[in-house]
Amino acid sequence: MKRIYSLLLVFLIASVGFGQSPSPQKQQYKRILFQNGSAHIGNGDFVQNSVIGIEEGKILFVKNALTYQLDKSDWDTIISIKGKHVYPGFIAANITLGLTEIDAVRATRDFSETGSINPNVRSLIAFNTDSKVLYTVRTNGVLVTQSTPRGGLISGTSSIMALDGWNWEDAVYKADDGVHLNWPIKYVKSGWWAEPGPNKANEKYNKTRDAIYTFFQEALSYSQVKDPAEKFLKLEAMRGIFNGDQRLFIHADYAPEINDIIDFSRRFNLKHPVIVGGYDAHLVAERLIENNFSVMLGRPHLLPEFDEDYTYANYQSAAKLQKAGVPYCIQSAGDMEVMNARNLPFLAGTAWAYGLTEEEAVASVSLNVAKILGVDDRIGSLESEKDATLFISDGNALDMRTNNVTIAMVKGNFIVLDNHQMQLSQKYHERYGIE
Amino acid sequence: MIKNILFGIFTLLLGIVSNAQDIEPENGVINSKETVAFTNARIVVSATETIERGTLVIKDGVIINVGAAVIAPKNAIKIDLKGYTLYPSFIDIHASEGVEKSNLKKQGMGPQLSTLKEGPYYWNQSIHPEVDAYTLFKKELFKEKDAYVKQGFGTISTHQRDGLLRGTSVLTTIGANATQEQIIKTTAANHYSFSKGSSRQSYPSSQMGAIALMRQFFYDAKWYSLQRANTDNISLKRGIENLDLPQIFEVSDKLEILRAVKLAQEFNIDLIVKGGGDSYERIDEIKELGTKLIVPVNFPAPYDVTDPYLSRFVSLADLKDWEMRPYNAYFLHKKQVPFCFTTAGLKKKTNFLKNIRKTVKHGLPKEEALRALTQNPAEFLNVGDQVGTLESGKIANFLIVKGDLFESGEIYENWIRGERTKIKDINNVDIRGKYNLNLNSIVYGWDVTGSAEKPKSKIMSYRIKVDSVTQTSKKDTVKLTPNLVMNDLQISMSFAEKDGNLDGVVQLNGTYNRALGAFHGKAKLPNGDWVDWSAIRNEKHKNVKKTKKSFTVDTSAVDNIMYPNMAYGFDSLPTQESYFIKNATIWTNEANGILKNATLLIQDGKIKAVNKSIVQIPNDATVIDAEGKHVTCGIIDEHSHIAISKGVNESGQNNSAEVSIADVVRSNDINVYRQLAGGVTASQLLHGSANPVGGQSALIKLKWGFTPQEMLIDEAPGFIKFALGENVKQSNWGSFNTVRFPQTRMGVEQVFYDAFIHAKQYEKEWKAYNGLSEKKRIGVDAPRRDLELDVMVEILNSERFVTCHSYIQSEINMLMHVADSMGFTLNTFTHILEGYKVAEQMKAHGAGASTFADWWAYKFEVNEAIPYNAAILHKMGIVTAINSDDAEMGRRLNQEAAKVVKYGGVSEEDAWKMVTLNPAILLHLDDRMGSIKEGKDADIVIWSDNPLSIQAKVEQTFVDGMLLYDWNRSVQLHDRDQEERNRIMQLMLAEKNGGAATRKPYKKMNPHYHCDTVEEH
Repeated sequence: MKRIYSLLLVFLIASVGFGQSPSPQKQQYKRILFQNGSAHIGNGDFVQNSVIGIEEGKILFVKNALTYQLDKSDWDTIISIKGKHVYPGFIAANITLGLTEIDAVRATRDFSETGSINPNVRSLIAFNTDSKVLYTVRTNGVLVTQSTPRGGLISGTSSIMALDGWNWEDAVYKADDGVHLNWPIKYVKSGWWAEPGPNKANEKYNKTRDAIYTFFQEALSYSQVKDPAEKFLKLEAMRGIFNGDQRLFIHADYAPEINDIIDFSRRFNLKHPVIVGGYDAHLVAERLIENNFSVMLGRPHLLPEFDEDYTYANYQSAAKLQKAGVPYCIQSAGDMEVMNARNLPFLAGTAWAYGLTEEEAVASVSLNVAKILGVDDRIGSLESEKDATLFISDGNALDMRTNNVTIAMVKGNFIVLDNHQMQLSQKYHERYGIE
Repeated sequence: MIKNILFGIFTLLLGIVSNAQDIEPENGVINSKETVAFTNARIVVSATETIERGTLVIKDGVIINVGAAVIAPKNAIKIDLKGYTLYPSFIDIHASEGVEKSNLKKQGMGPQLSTLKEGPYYWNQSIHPEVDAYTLFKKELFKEKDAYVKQGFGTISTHQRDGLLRGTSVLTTIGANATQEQIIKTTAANHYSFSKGSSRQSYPSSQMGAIALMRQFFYDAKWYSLQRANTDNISLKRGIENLDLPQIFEVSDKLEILRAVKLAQEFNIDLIVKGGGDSYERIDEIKELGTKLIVPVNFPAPYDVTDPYLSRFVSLADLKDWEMRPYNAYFLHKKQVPFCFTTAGLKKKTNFLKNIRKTVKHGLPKEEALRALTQNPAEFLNVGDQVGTLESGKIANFLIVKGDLFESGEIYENWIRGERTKIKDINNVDIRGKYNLNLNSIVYGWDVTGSAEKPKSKIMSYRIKVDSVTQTSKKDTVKLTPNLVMNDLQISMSFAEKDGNLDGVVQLNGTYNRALGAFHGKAKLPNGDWVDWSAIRNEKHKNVKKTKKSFTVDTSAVDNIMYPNMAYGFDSLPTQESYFIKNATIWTNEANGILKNATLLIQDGKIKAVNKSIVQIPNDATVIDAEGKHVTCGIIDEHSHIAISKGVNESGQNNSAEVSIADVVRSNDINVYRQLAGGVTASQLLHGSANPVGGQSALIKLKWGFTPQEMLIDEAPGFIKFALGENVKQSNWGSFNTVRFPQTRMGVEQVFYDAFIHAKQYEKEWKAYNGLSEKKRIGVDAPRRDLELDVMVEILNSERFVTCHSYIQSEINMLMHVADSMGFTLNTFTHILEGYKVAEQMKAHGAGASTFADWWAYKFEVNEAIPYNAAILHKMGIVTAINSDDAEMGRRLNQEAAKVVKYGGVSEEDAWKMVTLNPAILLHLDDRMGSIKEGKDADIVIWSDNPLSIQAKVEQTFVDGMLLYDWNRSVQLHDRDQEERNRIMQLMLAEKNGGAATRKPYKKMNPHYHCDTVEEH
């Protein structure tokens, strides 16, 4: 117990620097045991009363506490989390977290480069570990993000980042994990945004699609030469797509476009094609499965696309893909996505209410994401040999009322669960003398 | 008596005399005024009178006699119309053709704050009642004239279709003569619309702004007319003068009809409304208005619904609209709403008659169609004594038609003021048939086919070929296609032969002999010789009779109207019923807290009994077993922008207190239904935050299916939106919007002081004036009524409450100082994201808070927003609500309330009150809503689980005791919608297969407003 107190002390000391982003912590314990928590593994399994062993930042095991023989001397610290829930760190895919601070202030917006084909621009080096927003996100259990550029036809290359680190160099989980392609839409909006006109057929659709084919053809040919005499940044940036090192994330929602994308993927023999958005993905589920696609599903908290859709259409999308057997995860891109990243657990919660089981819902923001991003060897679930990137919540983390993260680790290091909002809250609670 | 008769005769004579004289000097000798008699015609005198065989006599452009027994005057030119029908020609009273357009053009990219029209005119460029179309109507601009004439029109009333007060129209016949001989009335009607047209002046930027501006204009004009002004203003004068004319208001849909008439009624103005062709959706309400309508016939083409994915873009509302529009006139007729037709809105005027026939096929009786094309428009413009029927004394405007005008009849001639326009030739000779053509002893075969008007022909050149071996001869035929022009009885024709009987071009000219069916004339041969030719018909052309489709009227689809007429619309409107809910967990929001295993009785739209041991359950009550379920009062969204038409912000001025969302409630927004599905039963529809003083709110119940008026909460207290910070100083509007005051927080304060200090002076002036005795008022001008200041005075007198959009502590503090010094209390700070920093001041001032659960980081001023805000304010004893400001979030406010449990540890009951009781208190509606208490409105939600739980789903939502959302019924409605879609798409595909032009599916987008949604036209 003494040890636990000392651990808490670390947090307190860390939070003294008011107005500062919390510092990354150095791990002082080699072997840590979490005892008696309910473990949501992330792969669909659940252990009601668990012991979780951690060594040198890696998960050693997750076992049933009832059958586990505890030898206290094995551990540098034993932390009881009885009655609490432990989850793998949730992963917020496809957002601009770390690339922007204040949506309305242009100087803080670092996610959309000029020009239309920019596979060579990399979110990695723009990822700001001092963003105040990061620290309001991880306090809800979101510990990893896919920091993603936006705009143009090919926005750039994303990276998987931990929400902890002195700099992007130590925050990075996987550098340059994939290239983001915004597939053209067959229907474009008209009118002005307050009084929108009809959605009209996109006259330029075929032309834009042809431009994508042309660029990919060029990039494919280029990638077949190992060390070309003349180097082109844009084409170099595409190499990983063809040799399977990188994902291609194709942003699209509707079935006609997705069908075209599947044809496109077959043409270029893509190894890991991913649909991002996928409003209609359930309608073309079989074709997606046949062609090795995964889907990073749009925010459940979106209005239905069509008047006739069930009001809860987006709430149910995850369950539809789950049932159809399409590899999928939930992501939260959209309006105010950066600050909203902290609501990712509740998006999964809503999907749980509308058809997923609880553990499927947990998986939809943990292991499912890790698999699609290609980092499931390191994160996404509470399984041995993976990083101890996890958190402990007082209650169910997918429900707003009970999501209360008290302990969290990233890459085996405890992180400080403090942010400027908590500090401001505390400051004014103190000022007013309220509890 | 005798005197009167004499006077009558005198005027009659005078009339004749003046008719016979030309005002304009003639260049040459005076032309004779011929009399023309149309004999043996079927004469449709009017919608109610037809003469099966009679004579119509016209002279000098006027009908002088008509009847069955009328004998044509001897000097008359007689036209035998046996087999033809005369109809009065059509009148379009909502034309805008031939009128010069406004040439005021905005310069530069910045906002245009004042009018570009220099002179004694109204300050706003979209208001110009002084524009008289008769001064702008130009023959050379009237490009559509031929189309009008061919479609059967003889008279149009045309105006400059631009602006809110558009000015007057000119009523003119559309004959060939000079314009001055055509005009019936120089100022025929006064025109209005909700569209500001070519004006680029910033104000108004929204429909509610347009409504407020028109309202203010009428007050100004009235005031001005009673005023001894020392400046002259033509707009204000004409605004009043034009009220003597028929008043025509153009709108775009059924809801705007209701809005226009409501506005007009405030000033006792009777309207003729040019609608959007969808009145059928709200036919009962429109009937009740007692208004006349002008109806367009621009029926949409069917969509190409071949592809199952793409056809989803076409909403059920659009599918149904496509099906129902042709029935619109039938609905109006059935409800006895007086109406007339217009060509307005048609892309091609040439489709007009075709579409009129479509309405007849869809149930409108032919005589009513005729009435709507002739008598009604004439009467609407008070010129029924001059045009509209074929009675003597009226202008000789009529059509000569073969067949039934409303089935497949054809217009042969259109006479306008006695001037003839031939569209088809009545006397057309039909030369079709098979001839032997004898040209200089060479005999050709000649087949004339095609139509009687445009014959085509083939010439057969025969040659005898002799085989040199067998010496047998063979007849060889070569077909030639000649050029052929027939003009009355004269023919010109040429054909070329090669190596035949002749070699080269043969040119013929000849005369047709009708009696013989033969031609004769001269031809010029290739060698230059002139020879005789003749042709004798040996076989008449046989009409290949098309099997005529029988003319059928089908009105079977008219019972398919839903409320609203779109997805999830009700087949019939729900009514208040009795419900007894038992075994429920009831969140009362009252002292008794959460009741387990409790009962609730709803009756007559009210909560009748809460967990009473003895309850008289009405016999007709539906019993709902709510075992395991939670029952709450409905969610109230203090800050919503759903269900608003055409603009949430009136951003044209920094103070727009005069505008009101209540004027533009859009009852058929699907988000109303979606929010019912999220347990919301009442909302404050707020003006946006584009200016410091925004507009008045609409407090509504989410009564899906009902009209905007029915959705407004009866006797709701008045509210107005104020705003502070980045939005009002236009920080994020781009680099051109740096002109409108204020651009800083410093300026924002001054806007408020300015408005309130003015309002105080204004109130003083009125009090002084109202305090005068009637006697003393004589000779004293009344102060000008200012709608904006009226509202500011209401705020000062606590007759209207302020909800203020606010973020930063400094500005919140500032506004409280303004209010304190002006002597009123700010009711609610909305958003109030830094409220936690000024909680003590707010409490001292007495303001409530309505905030977001966790929004921040979207602009600079929310950088210190914290999710603990609501909890701190609540703990400080401030009435605190959680709002949405967003159509998506509005349907899961229960989740947002639950966040207050997480951030700050507020109890579940108190968190729940933040979306129910507390907003009710803030809206001063807590005597009727916000808790489950006997006597309160039966706005009830049944949840599957604890409403704050992530698992909670709405199973049923009641508003005023009406079951408006039901999870299970929603599934049924969904299935019905799919069937209905399928039924209509089948009709569309059938039309496509039948060769109809289709249009690509497209999706109408639903506006999704936030506070800072700013409209720029």
